[in-house]
Amino acid sequence: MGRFGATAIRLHRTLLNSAVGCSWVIIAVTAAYLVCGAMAFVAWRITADDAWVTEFFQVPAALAMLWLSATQFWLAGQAAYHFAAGEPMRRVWTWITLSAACGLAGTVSTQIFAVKSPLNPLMLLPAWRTDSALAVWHEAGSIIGGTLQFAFLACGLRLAVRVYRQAGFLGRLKWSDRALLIAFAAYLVAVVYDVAVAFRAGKPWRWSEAAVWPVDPLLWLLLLQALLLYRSVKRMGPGWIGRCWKTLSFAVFLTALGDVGTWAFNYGYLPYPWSAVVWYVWLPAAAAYALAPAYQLEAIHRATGSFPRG
Amino acid sequence: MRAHLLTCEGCSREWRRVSNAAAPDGGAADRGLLAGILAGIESWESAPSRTEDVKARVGSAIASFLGPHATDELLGAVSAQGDNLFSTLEPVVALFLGCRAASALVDHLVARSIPRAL
Repeated sequence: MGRFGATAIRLHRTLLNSAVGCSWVIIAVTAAYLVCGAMAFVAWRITADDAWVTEFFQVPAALAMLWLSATQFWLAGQAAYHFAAGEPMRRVWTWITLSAACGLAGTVSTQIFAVKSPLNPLMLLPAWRTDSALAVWHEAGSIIGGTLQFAFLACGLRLAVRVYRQAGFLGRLKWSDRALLIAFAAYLVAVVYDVAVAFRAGKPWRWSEAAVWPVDPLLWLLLLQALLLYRSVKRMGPGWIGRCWKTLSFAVFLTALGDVGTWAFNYGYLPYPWSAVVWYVWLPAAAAYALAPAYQLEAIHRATGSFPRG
Repeated sequence: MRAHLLTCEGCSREWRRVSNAAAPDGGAADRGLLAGILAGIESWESAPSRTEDVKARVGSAIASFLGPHATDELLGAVSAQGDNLFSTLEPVVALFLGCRAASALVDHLVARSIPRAL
């Protein structure tokens, strides 16, 4: 039992240390994937064969999204663990870890189980190959990886904003931030209008669709919080702590951009084939979500001296 | 008393020590050391540049975590003698990095910055 306990502690320490300094790995992997994605896009345009892009998103990009979601969950959990119970940042990172767990479950559901691809183990079972079964996975993934993920993230960011206020460094929104929030609010109105028109045209009510409606209002709230955090970081100046929150703000901004782009694509506002560029937004967004806790951990380890202080 | 000192070894040793210290040339080394320490304290207190030096060193290290603007703002609240330097900075660092990390960072800065300034 003693030897087992010592081995478990050693393994735990090794895993803890493995989380330190992995930001460059996340950046390198994402950059490599984006280069491959750009090459697939160019190959599609040259050969006129869209299999280049669809297969890129079905297998390598799905694997990258899965890895980034799992990394974000793992690192956010580690960040929460490094704060003592009762410390404000412990609660911040606990909410973000919950959000990351939902993000991971959503990614598994929508990118793996909801797609007819070689990555989907459910394709071996005839009952799960049907389009209706795939749609169930997609809807479940959209609720967990959409509404729930963003609701938990909003709880975490609300507490992070409170920490900045407590420290006396809460930033103030600029006119450009307010303009962005007004533009996103206008987008919300457009989405509500589209839904109302669809219902008036006889679209049937479905609970699974209604459960995803809070995503856009939540994204508006997240955008507000992200802008406040970004302005707070700008007020404090560049530093290890600010790098974490600036990256998380960037992740939220990319998510909002991807959401608007997907809506514009679905309603035909973006001309084909350039609308496909929207699909590439999700990879850097997922990378930014994973990088934020990585930077938080690096800041902590630099402070404790277990990572070069620089 | 003299008779007792003749018979008690412990008391006679203590008497010799006190007598030597009170003598004009006795305990000169101790007094020299004390004078050196007092002069060092006086010189430290009368040299604001040293306090500024420590503040600058600590500020530079903290700025890499909090950011230069935040650090400047916090250092503005530190007294001229710098006696509240760490008590001003540590709680803010602890908010963002946790008490354990903030405490380790301050320990490191105290060990690194103050001896260099002496």
